[in-house]
Amino acid sequence: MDWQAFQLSISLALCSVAILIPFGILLGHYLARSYSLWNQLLKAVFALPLVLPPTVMGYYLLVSMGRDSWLSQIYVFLFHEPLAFSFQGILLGSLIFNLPFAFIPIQRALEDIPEELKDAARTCGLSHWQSLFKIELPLAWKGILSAVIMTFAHTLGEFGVILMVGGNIPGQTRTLSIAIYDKVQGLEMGSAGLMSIFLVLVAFGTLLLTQLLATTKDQKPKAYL
Amino acid sequence: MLKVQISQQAPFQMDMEFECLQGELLALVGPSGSGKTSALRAIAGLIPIKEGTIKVDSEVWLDSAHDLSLPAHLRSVGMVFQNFALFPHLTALENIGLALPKGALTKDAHELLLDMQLEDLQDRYPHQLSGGQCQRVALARAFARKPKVLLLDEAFSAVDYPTRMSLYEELIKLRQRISIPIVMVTHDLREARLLSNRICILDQGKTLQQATPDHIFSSPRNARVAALVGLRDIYSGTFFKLPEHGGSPHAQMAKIVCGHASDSIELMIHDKGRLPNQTEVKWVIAGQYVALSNVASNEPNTLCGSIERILQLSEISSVKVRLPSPLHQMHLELSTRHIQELHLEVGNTVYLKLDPDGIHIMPVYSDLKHKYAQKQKKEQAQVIGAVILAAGQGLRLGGVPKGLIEIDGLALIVRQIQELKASGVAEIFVVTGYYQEQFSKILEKYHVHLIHNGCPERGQASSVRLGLEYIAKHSSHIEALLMVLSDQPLLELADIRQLIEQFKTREYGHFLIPIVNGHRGNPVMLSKIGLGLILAKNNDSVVRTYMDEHPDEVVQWETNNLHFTFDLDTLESVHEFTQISGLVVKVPNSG
Repeated sequence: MDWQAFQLSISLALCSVAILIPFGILLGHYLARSYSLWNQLLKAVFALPLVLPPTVMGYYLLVSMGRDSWLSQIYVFLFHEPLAFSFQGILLGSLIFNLPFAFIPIQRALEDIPEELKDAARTCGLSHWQSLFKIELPLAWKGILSAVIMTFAHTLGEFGVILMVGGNIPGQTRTLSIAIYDKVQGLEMGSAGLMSIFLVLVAFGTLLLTQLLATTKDQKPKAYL
Repeated sequence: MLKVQISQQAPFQMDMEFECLQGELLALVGPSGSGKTSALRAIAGLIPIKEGTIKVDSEVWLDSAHDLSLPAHLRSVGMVFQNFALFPHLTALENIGLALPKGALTKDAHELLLDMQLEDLQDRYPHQLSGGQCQRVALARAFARKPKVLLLDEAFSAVDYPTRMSLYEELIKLRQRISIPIVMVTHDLREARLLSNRICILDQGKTLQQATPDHIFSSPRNARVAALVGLRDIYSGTFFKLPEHGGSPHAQMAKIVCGHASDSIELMIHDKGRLPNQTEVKWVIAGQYVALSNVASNEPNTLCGSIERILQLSEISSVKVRLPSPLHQMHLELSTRHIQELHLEVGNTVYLKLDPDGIHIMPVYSDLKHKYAQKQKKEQAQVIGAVILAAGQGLRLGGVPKGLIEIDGLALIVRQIQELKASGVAEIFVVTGYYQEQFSKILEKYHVHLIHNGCPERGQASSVRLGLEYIAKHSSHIEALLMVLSDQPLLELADIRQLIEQFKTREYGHFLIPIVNGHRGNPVMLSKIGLGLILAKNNDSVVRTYMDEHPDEVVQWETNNLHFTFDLDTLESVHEFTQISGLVVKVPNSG
């Protein structure tokens, strides 16, 4: 077991969750508000990582982090180090790649809240943001929890994008999935197997939790029971 | 006071204007899609309104002219929703506490719970409460904000009957304590009648009528309102003014004639002077103005019928009475005791005395949009001509020029010309035949076009054709034409105006014919295009033959007005006319 890779993967997953979930809430809330063409367009754009091959994503990320890119130049100017092949680089990749897993469950959960409840909140004198934090988010807790689990698990298992933008630098960009690949290359099948079992358990646990969440009886508004 | 005025075409049509005073309950009633809930949501600020104003006392919540629209959470409203809309993750107390204004204490929420008899349930979540308890919490939450307006969106429809009754009581009690405008949306007319001070009828986004429940149910503005407030018996008839008898103007009477000549029914009503003579109307009568008896009576406004069905609903029974054919039926709600006292049973003959005060008449075209479109059509200027066909020999009267029959010393054709001119007809064309000289002499001073048919023996069709050809050639500016027979003595200004109005407001076709009790009447009206169509056909084509061949171009105007069919064709009809009119009729000497 490569504990350094394990620690890095957990750090990457936690950072991704910490950054992506608040952003996912805001994005999900914005996208749940209307079914306009503009919103449909945005939903399609933000859901693109779901269907794009990880190598394509990785390629574009690598290009955008290249030495001559404006993103890289700004980053170097601010932090005096390159973005590509760094933890920050794979974190950025992870954020973009996991975006759909963070916002879609939240958006769906917010859309499921009856309009009448949102109207009731406003006629109770709650502003838009008060309504979001006091009424809508508590009612969308299952969607938010689902987003947390999915984002965390998916970050742990990500391989293609991480390899392309981060390479295989121990302690910096070598995550569990990269480490498994590395061990297999080095014919250390035992170690690779152990780490694989861990990821299988994480994946299984994720699916089980989301299933349980989906079947948990919710406190639905009385008249909608 | 709440004042609402909304007028917009998009995104959905709304043309509403209503107000609700302090302490008053206004019920918005209308069919699904009439805009009731939209009106409520507009007041609460939950939907954007492009054009309109909403004012509560001195506060302006919406003023589109000044680009002002207060956000929903800043409008001081309390709203109760059909499905309660309680927040499921909050307890009853928390639900109410959430709506409390800033600075209010939790004890205020406790007091509201106490008012609603919910003090033991304060820690329960909505899913642990019954429907009635949920709605009580919702009511308490709506009042928690100390709102300036209370909005009830079908608030009582999702609960059972006993719960609804107790909620009504709660609402009535609350109204006694808190004097604010309350606007309630409901489908339930009984609920509206029971709870509201005033009812506003909405249809297709428009306000049709706003009045007290009693007024709306007894005097709906039009047939649509009558149907919307659930009046089942809406009858048709024609309104006739009666000669003034010199008494108080309030006592001026008129009559409604329902049905055809032989089996028509006449009812006396009070003439409020709002309708012109011979207006097609719908009429209704509220139950309290109908006296039911099983004792035969010949008094005016008494109808004889038979009981077809009695439905006993505890204290009140619904009685369906079969009436003579033009009216068909009447539904009455009577106390069961009254029915028992009269020993009424199905099949019994009964007498219904209709109080003239309770008969409410409504002109047929009362829908605002339709009315406006019709008004525009009516007011549209048209050059109208009239052809009077006076070429006939008058054989059935022994060979006399029928147009020269004198009525009170004035020739019938002269009377017709005067009435036609008074109704705005621009030019009159008289086609003469057998009696050309007599007509020429008498019509000299009336500025009419005289057209002589040299071959009157070829029949009326030849005169019609001649008249049309003359107009096409010499008076091409005529846009519409009346084809008048010279022997119609009852045709007067009102009839001609009504016919022209019907022609102007027709939806299709180039011809209009009055149909009286299934019989074709006269005059027929046709447009300039219609005239061209006839002339474009072969030489034998005249108005009648063309209309028979092209029925889809003919509008049949159904009317009860016998003026369009009565003619002086025989001595019997002359005698009948003398009796009806009481005028002196002098038939010229034959031959």
